[in-house]
Amino acid sequence: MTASVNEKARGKQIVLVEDDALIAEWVQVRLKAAGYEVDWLQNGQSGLNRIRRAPPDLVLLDISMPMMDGFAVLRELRYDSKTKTVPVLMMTAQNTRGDVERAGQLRANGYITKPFIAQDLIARVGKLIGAQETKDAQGGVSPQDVSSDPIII
Amino acid sequence: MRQAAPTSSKLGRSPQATVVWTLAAFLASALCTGASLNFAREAGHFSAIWPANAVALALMLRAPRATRLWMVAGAYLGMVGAVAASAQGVAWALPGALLLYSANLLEMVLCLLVLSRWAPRGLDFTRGRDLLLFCGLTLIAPAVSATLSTALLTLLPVPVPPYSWLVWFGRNMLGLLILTPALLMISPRRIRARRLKPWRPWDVAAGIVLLAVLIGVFSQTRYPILFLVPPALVLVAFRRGAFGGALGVLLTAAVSVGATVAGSGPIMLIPASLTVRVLVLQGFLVAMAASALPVAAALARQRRLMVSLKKATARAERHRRQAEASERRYRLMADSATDMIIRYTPNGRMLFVSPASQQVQGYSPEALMGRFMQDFIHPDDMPRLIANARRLMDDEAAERRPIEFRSRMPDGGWHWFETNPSVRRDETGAPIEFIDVMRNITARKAAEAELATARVAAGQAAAAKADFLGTMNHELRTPLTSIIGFSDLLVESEALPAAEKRYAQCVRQAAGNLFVLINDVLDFSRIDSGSLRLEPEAVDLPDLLTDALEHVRSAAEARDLELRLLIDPAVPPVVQVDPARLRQILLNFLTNAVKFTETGSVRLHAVMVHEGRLRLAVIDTGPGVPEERRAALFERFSQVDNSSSRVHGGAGLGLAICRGLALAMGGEAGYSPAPGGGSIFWCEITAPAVQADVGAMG
Repeated sequence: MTASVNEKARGKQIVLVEDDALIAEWVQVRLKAAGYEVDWLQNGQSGLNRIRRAPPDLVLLDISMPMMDGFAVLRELRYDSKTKTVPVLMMTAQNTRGDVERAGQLRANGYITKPFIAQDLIARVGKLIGAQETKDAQGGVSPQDVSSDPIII
Repeated sequence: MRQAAPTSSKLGRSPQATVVWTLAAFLASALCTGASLNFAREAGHFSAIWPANAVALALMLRAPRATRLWMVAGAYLGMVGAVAASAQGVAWALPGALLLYSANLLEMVLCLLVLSRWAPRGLDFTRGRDLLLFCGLTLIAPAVSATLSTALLTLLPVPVPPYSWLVWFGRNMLGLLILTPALLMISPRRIRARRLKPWRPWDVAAGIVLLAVLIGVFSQTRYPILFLVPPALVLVAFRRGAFGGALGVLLTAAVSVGATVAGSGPIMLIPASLTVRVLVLQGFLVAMAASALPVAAALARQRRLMVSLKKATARAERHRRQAEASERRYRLMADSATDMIIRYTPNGRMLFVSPASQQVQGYSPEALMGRFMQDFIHPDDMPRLIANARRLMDDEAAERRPIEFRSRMPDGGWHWFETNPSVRRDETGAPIEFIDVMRNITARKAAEAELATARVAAGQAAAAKADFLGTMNHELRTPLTSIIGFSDLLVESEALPAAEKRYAQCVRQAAGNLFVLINDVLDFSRIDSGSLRLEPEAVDLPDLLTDALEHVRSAAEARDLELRLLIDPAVPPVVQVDPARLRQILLNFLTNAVKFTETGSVRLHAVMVHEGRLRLAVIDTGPGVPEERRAALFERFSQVDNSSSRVHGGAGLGLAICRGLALAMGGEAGYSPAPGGGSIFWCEITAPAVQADVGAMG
């Protein structure tokens, strides 16, 4: 493993909600290698429950899932004041604009299209976690961050 | 028979006409007066008839209304002038005549006043009313005139025997009664227009009989056979009507007066004074006129009735024949119409059903007539039909519209029909019945339903295809993510031996190729099925082009190729395009160009073909495309190097997709050989310029 462990990543917790076990395993390998703590949930409902129980530093949320999809989970998160500000990075295999717009409307913090490579994933996650840290340091949400557009690849 | 209204004649309007008519009245009355006076003087007694008033009046009635007053004055002066001329040497003749003939003046004015008031459009002697009016006038006007003249006579210094009220009255009355009708009925216009009935042999015979009787009666003085005259006169009136009667009376008057003056005729048998004889003669003539004119009037009236009856009969017959023909036509139409024609009462009872019902509804007309529409109509459709019928009955101006309904067939099945009734109403506007054309539209309905089903099916098929594409996209990308992800991990792994690492790299590369291929296949099927959705937005064009070149920069630098971007100044900086799809086309062209060019340069040109149409061309210095391959270049599954060695990968969909995308963007894509051996891959797309301020926001 050549991936360097980021000092910022230490102790940061990421919840991964993804129904595909292979992708989930690969993402976990990559994120753990980068120094993050990762908790994987295989469906929307259990993911939502997990996030509500203890809001993590970042949520990696797949959109296409059976029963409760990523949009439904995101909507629930944004209704709840406890989870309203948790950064969410959406993952999807659909590269149509419909999904991008919807993610933006539901105030996702970013959007990454499958297949993606490890470097991209780590960069996006690091950026969102870093932003969170800055916000924490300032002790609140800056208006600029809230209105910022979702990041699209 | 009625006198034409003279006011319309051209003569009537000018002053010359007035002078002519006045002169005519003057001359006519002067001549008549002179003749009467001479006749009386030569005969040694007075004239039995006074024609001057009658002739002048007949002239006036033919003259324009405006000239009549002048003519009255002219006639008066004519009479006075004639007296003055014939009684030369008598000192009081002129003032006497002026005084005495004012009675005639009064008579003429009275006649004109009465006639213009009661017969303003002229006299028609064949009408009982006009005849009665005229006879009344011939009694009253001479009576008034005689009364005035008798009164005036007492003012004259010299007595003028043998004038008396009765004589004055009698001769003036006779003049009017006998002469005026005859003169009024002789119409030069009618003679000219040949509207007079031709004289048939029996008419001529009647005239000859009258003349013979008159000569026979008045050429002798032995027998008082005056009674022979009326039958002959009535015969003439009977044959020739009012005009013949008037002429007969005129003839009788002429002969009897002439004979009596000459001392011949039955009147001379009267053993009394001359005055009495004249009175008897006058009485005779009045009786003649009174017997001939009513007969003629009655005959004319009967003839008129006959004519109008004949006309009415002919008209009725013509209408009956027209109605029959029309009835036959409509029956033929109803019989031969392929749609069913029906009439039914407002409560639905069928009064008439055309034979087409057998084909249209399966029932014969006899089976339907007398029955109610409601017995056949589907209960669910009744309310609509009733509402329509009510609407048409209530509002006469209601617009007719076709209504579809189901009706029962003899086999108990329901067929669809189209109806469009109209209401027939009586004179008061109350609805009598409905007239309707019914058409069996079951086949049409079935076809419509089939079409609708087919349309839904086609829509569903398209939706299913789009769904499938979306699902495939997702399903293929998901495992690829794992393949790429895990092979990356293997390639990065330091624990792996070199050979195995090389294998992992092969898997990784193949996965990358597969990813490109999946995208191409999905794009291609989207283009092919028409489900490609463009998402145009305001795009900074120089940015987009630079970015596209950056993508191939490393590959170009590896080969030491020169990369250049040339943008024509006419190209607007911000345009409305789908950036992803435009980039896709450009990357395809640029990747190909870099891939196939060994040395030299790859250039990207942007120019405007015209406003709103952007042309982008990638020009390389590579080997170019052999001529025989150019035509198939943009076809699907074609590759420049189609040999089995296949140095360059790809399914050969790239250019076909580029062309499909360009077409979808309202343009075209193509290839041209570059001068000097290279290739030009170009595309033209619709790219409207966007206002700079809008672009700045995007």
